[in-house]
Amino acid sequence: MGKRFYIQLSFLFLVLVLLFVVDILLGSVSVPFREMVKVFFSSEHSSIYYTIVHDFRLPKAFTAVLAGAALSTCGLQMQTLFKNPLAGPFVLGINAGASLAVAIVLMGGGITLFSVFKSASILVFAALGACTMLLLILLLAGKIRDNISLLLVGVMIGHLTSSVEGVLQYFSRAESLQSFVLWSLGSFSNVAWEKLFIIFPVIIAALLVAFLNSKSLNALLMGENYAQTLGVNLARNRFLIILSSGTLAGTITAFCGPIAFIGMAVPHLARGYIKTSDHRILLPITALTGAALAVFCDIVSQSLLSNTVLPVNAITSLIGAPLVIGFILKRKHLKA
Amino acid sequence: MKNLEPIFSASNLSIGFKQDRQRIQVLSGLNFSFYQGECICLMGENGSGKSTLIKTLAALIRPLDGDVLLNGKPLSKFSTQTLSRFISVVLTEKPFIENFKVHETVALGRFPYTNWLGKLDEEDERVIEEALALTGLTKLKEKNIGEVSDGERQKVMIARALAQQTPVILLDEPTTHLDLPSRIEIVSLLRSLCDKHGKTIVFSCHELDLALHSATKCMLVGSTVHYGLPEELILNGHISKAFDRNDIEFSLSKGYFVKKSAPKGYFYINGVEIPAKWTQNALEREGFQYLEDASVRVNCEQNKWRVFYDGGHADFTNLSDLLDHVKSLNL
Repeated sequence: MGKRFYIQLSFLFLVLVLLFVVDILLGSVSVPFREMVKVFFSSEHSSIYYTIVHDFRLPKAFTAVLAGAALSTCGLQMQTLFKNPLAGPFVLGINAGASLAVAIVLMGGGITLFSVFKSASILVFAALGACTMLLLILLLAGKIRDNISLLLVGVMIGHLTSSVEGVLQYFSRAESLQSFVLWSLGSFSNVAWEKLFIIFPVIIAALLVAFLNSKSLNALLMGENYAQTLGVNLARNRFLIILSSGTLAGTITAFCGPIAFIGMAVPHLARGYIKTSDHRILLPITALTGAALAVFCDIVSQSLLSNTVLPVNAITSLIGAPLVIGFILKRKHLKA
Repeated sequence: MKNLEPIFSASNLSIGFKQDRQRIQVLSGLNFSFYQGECICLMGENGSGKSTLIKTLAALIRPLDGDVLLNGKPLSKFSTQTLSRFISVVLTEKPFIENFKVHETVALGRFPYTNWLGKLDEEDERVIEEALALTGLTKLKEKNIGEVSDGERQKVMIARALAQQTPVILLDEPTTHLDLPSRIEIVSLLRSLCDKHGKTIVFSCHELDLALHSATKCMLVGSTVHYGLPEELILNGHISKAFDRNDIEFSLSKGYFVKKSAPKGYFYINGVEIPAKWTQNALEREGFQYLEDASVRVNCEQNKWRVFYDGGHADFTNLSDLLDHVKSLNL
């Protein structure tokens, strides 16, 4: 890890901080910069700006940072695990697994999303749903050697879960249906401080697991046989990857709804930026790039139209899908 | 001096794989002992089980019956971590990496020796440089692995195995994708690793001439398995039996495979040795056979040929014209 890496890392961090500030300032109500500084450094808590910044925009921006870092790190790990450059939590139906779990909890169990204890249980369910789906896909990947077929299977599984959700919607009560539909549009603004305090340590822990595993992820790039002869314990390694990526995708899906394309596109952006597949470098860069892109999407979603907030899922797809198409066109055989 | 204890040994070993809960046996009744410093070539037709044997030796697949002993201890009793310091491999599968520099890929060979983050110390760097130098990759080390040719990538994989510093190296068809000089270069390198560094190397390969060139022992893998000096296997007729087909046979005198067919005619050749050898080669390729008292007699000099036949002779200054003429003689 040379000096270049630290310069690139610092640059990305700077960009992220800048976007973060812009994200707080812009929106249906513009916050003057002076007022924002006041929120941080003055003890006066009564102004309307304090409420906007402290209670709404700050937790939303932090959520975007966490979501971007989590989803893109999940995507990177999945691309390495499946040796498939187009793998990601969304295409392979990992979001769908989490989403189905949430649907069952929200509509089937009749639990509302509002208490902290229930948020925790939704988090656990979503993470379990995501991990289960990852395991299922991994099992299928053993049978399907062809990358493209596996992606198609992922898409099918996505459809399968959404049809189950459709059935659940049909039978559920109006209030729970409404909260589910709102959730499924995707948003960073449903997460208040107290939920953030649950998500934050979980995401950080899962990111840490991914980073501690980066040496083995590098070996996995050589193929599983090579990795094993290098001394990698494949079973333990797979477990760690599934645990980390399932938790990352599941947690974010539980609280922000399905967010498409960040997980698939960002690892490619990061590779293009630092020109290496070395996970020790690629992982932190991917996480930071993901965070910056998610915040950027949030800015666009709240300031593109002057008086409406667009669903963030639409914006990530709007930006992410052309990016992915671009990658495919640029390199005929995509590799990590 | 040879160590008395074999590095690898197996008795009555069956290998294969399991597919849809069915045992697919590829080879059975295998007995062998490989000793330190040996350079063993596995030969056999496509699908004969060379790769399966190599993967079994690498503990990547379990034997169906019996056990492979590494230094007298069953392979299954080793942890992957311990094995990674004993055995390194070069496989036929293409790695997924693209955005890795050549030296970074070779550095992955240091995996068993580095800390959790894979930090390289001076010793690691020295070993990597040495592996790059041995495989002639020093100039390419800053190149991206996605940019090098197939042959160069194969050398990178070999360098990576060298960097792993294991007493045993297993290579599955290391010479495919390589051009002719590189093939010789690679097998010579393998042999010198055995001779100079005491490594034990098992590699599979299709080319008999490469085995003859470098292997200390040769294992012929097929419906029956034979083991010995490559020359012994030729003299015993095992090589020709193993590869014989309807239209191809092994020529004991030449040491390579030739097309079986009734000769189009006979010729005798004499003259300057080197041009005569290649003229004979050309005539034989065109289906003519060498015979002491053939009626067509070719006399070779440097860039000059004279052909005697019933009723006359003709002179030629290039080989193609000579070949056309002999073909037109209607022998």
